[in-house]
Amino acid sequence: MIHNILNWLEKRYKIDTILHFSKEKTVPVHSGSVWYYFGGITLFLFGVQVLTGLILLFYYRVGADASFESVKFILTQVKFGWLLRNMHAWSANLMVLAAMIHMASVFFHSSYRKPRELTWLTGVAMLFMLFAFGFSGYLLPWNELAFFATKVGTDSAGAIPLIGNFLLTLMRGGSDVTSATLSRFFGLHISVLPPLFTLLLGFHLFFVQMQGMSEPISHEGQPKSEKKTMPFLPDFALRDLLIWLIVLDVLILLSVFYPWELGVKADPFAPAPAGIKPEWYFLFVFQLLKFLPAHIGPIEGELFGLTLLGIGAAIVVFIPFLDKSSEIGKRNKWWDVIGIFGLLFFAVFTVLGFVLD
Amino acid sequence: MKINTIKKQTAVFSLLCGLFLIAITATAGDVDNCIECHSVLHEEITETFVQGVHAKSNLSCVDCHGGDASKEDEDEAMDPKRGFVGVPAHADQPNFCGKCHSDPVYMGNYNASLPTDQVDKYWTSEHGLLLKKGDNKVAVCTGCHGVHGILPPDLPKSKVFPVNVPATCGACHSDEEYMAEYDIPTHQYAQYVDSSNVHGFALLHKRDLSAPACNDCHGNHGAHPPGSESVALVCVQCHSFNGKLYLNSPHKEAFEGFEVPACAFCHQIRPTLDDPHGSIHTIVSPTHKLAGTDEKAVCSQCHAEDEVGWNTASAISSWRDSLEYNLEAAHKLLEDVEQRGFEISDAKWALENDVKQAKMKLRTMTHSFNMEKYQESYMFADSVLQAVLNEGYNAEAELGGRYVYYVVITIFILLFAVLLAVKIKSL
Repeated sequence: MIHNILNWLEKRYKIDTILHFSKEKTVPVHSGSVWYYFGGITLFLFGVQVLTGLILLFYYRVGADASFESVKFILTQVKFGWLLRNMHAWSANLMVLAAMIHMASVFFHSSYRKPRELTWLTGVAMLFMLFAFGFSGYLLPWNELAFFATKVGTDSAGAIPLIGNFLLTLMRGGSDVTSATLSRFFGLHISVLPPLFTLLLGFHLFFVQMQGMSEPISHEGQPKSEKKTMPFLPDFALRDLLIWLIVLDVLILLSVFYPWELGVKADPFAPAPAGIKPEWYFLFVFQLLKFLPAHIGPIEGELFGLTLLGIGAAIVVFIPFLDKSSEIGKRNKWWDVIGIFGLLFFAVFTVLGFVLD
Repeated sequence: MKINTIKKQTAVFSLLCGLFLIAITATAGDVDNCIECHSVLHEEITETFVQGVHAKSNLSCVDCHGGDASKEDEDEAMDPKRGFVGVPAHADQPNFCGKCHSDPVYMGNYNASLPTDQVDKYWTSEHGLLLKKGDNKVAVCTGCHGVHGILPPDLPKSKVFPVNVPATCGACHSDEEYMAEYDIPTHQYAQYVDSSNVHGFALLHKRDLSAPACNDCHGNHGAHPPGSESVALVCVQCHSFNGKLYLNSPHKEAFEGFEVPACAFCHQIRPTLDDPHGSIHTIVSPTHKLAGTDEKAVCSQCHAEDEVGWNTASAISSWRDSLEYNLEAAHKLLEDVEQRGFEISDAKWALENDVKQAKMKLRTMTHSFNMEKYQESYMFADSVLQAVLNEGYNAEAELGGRYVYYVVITIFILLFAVLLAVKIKSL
């Protein structure tokens, strides 16, 4: 049966070339091979996001007088609605975490080096888009915490010189966070970001397939006969599948035992409750801006912080072009120092953001 | 040319002198010689007078005391021929104020909404009746409102501003020596300001101006102690549902027979038949333990075991205990399932609103002292509470179901994972 279908397809689309390519595809085996799986985990979680997001869309209604009620309806009335919503929320967070680990492993292995600059750029762009997914999705239940976190988040964007006010109005759809903001975030979350992300993901996967998986610099000089590899099909793919199963189980476990609280409906006229904090992956930005004084010399503290973070982000984006040594097969240890400093900064400020009021 | 100039200058000078004289004369007419002299002789009187409502309404000393304020000479200014009446005698005080305050036409010029029956009411009051009998110690208008610096009652500094009323009344009524010759207690003020007294606490500590002060129960100008039979009619003004139920209950007649002060008897801090009025100015916040048959409950003061009243109190008590028990259970249950992440806000809303309202209705129904009516209200409150409890139990069951789902799914996933691992191992 399968053979007949393959024959039918082969006569029309020459799929034998693709199958042959897949069968020939190998994955390098070395001490850091485990990190390869994080790309797959991120991809799997994206699949969960798409699937749960689509089903949630059947019930979710956008609007200041409908969003909270519809999420409540999903949680209480829709069969397994609670599971869908919790899996969507948890997989979003786990996806950001998996993408960060994936990116850190690529960074420390210098896998962004020539000829994989575009793979890196599409990956970084997708990570930034994940932040945008998270920021826009957080507001959609229209609860108190989301409302004020969005207010604080968009306020920070307003501090950017020259374009700050424009950005703030563009994001909020006015001077304040209102139903208009909710509509914009919803539009961004379900119709702008997903196609763009899918496109970038397509390119990212295409580059990976075309160029194969990067191997560590230390392996580059070795003769082909000494290099250990593993066939992508079925060896690596089955391992991927096994890990995805474990991730799926963890996801359900988190959804069942640690569900996301809906909280109380947003009231734009109510005072901000104490302890308003953004999502964990924005916490380091939030904490840094809190620590900075109102003014540093002639520059406003907030602007100074955003400038520092902007410089950091620019380094991350353009590292394939800045790191000249790895291009010629050498790892410059300074990049490791910078990378460790960046990770420590992120970890310390995130923990402080959790611990401090 | 020169003569003309002199003539012109003379004319202008004469005109200026004329204007100056007119100004002097006009200003001299505005001088209130009462104030001029008494500000030196009785500084306090004039100082408080100018801050009072009468001065603010452009009334002067002569409007009350008569005489002629334009005269500098003491004898001329305070000449009885010019209408001077001086300081009124204590007994004449009400009518002295009533000259204006009982005249609706005159008062209409100042405050058309102000009643003009104060003096008439006063003469019906306990104070007025005693004054008529020649008792010059009783309160007259100035006793409560002040003398020269009278302020409107809605100003916080006024002696009759709601928050100040208890102290104003208490100035005389808590003075044992002053009240010695009258056969009434002097502990009302102390009882009223006791922090256990819900009315005093609301008015004096929470500054809730809707809480009653002395005058809200005893009357203002017609102040009179309500008799035991009319206490309920006083309370019903605010506590309308409770009061109406009481007035139609068997207790009304019984309480009147025993001469116990209706609502105030049960709700005072220490109700006892030996002294039924003993602490009626300390009305405490009632708990569900007030009605019942144990020692703390008020019903056992009058009702003996196995009487109809005893049985009713016993039934009310057990139903209320049952409701309170379930209420606590509902709070704990909802809190528990909420902490476990279950969305339960509708049930919580019902508990905070529907159940609360049903409980209030039940509390009110206590005042019917009718077992059937109370049972009906109890059944309703219990059904509302049971609906909330059921939502909690359903949530608890669903949470349990979720854990079962997880275990089942995990078993399947594990099974699949083991098969995969075996396959991977074999590659």
